[in-house]
Amino acid sequence: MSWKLREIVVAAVLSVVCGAIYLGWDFLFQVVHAASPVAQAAFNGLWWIASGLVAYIVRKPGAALLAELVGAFAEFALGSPYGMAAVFIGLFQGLGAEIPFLATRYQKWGITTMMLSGAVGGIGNTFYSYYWQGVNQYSVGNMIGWLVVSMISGAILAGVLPKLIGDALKRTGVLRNFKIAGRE
Amino acid sequence: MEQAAIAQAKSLAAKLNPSYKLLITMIVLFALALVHHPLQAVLSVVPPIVLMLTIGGLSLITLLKRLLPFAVFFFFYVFFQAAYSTTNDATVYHFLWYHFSKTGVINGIVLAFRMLTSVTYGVLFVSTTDLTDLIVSLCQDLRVPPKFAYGILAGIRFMPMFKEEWHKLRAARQLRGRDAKWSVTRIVTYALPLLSQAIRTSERVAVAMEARGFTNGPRTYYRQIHRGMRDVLYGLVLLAANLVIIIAF
Repeated sequence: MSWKLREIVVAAVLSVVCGAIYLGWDFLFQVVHAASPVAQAAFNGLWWIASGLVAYIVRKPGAALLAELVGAFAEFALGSPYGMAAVFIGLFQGLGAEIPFLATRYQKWGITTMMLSGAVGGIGNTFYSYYWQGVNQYSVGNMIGWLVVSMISGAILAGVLPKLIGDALKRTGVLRNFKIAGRE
Repeated sequence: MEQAAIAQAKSLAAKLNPSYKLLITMIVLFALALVHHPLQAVLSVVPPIVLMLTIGGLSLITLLKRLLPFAVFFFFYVFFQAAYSTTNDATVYHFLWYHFSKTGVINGIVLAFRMLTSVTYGVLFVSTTDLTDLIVSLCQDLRVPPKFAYGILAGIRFMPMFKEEWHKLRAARQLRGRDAKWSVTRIVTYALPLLSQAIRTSERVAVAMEARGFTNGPRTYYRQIHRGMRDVLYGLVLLAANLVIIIAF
């Protein structure tokens, strides 16, 4: 179960790419938040896509958490408007996304586990947003809306989407040396 | 990470242990959840700004330049809270579905200053920390396995390659008259080739590292990261300052 060097480097590269995407997302969706916090929550899932993507390819303990931390750090270092808080929220999202993989003992990698991972990542996001991002001041409706919509968004954007990308990459043959292709 | 100016590189903050600097900052940001009053929030920005101007070696102009992009976000944070906070006081102003209240505006100012604090610590960290030093320090001080630390460093280091690869892909597609119709959809068209190329290159890098004897065994370091009393002092001062802000105000 131990990590191989190539898995670490690939995980880092993919995470940094995701971090660059996170940065773009940071700037795009402030406007949506102004329209409604719940509407912004619908886009939240993309912020922990690294977890699903790297875990799905590498399939090792800690992959989701590591990927999200590296991605969030890249987002921060590239100049995120959240500053260092970006790393912090990444920690919670990564921890959340890791739980379903841990619960299935890193054995099940079907669409259900992936969606669960994305959804629990949404709980991590809500936990952070509640205490640090001002969501605790919103009305109960908006808070529950934030949680539920974040989880759905996570299941799709950080669960289904990474699986699709992972499967497409697998078809190209570049992942032949990775666990996703059934080989160690 | 961005190139630090010479003055910053020589600054005292740049000589601090990167891992401890990171940990202390994270602890302070964690404690920010306890900041609820406007005065606390405004005061919490003071320590990082003072640090930047003194031991950080940044000039006031550089500081303002780095923080200016945040102004837009500052406005947004105040706006979110002003419009969506639940309060008991009578709504001051109605507009579409927004209910602006005085409490909401105050909540917004608290949140915006908290985020400003996070950004300011971020600028302080990025402009006084060398990425390689941080990675080496993670191995030496926090016992992160070198395989992970250097693997991640290698991964981060060839980020610039992506830009080059992107231009190549675009040129190749234009040559064949098959470029994406709209610039927004280009990312979708290019995603797979870019990612698969990145995976191939990372594998080659990993093989090259292993071929040069990079294994998990005991290792010596060319760079020795310093760790000492000044790190302890830095941590104590920051923690004390924030404790005072949270408790006394």
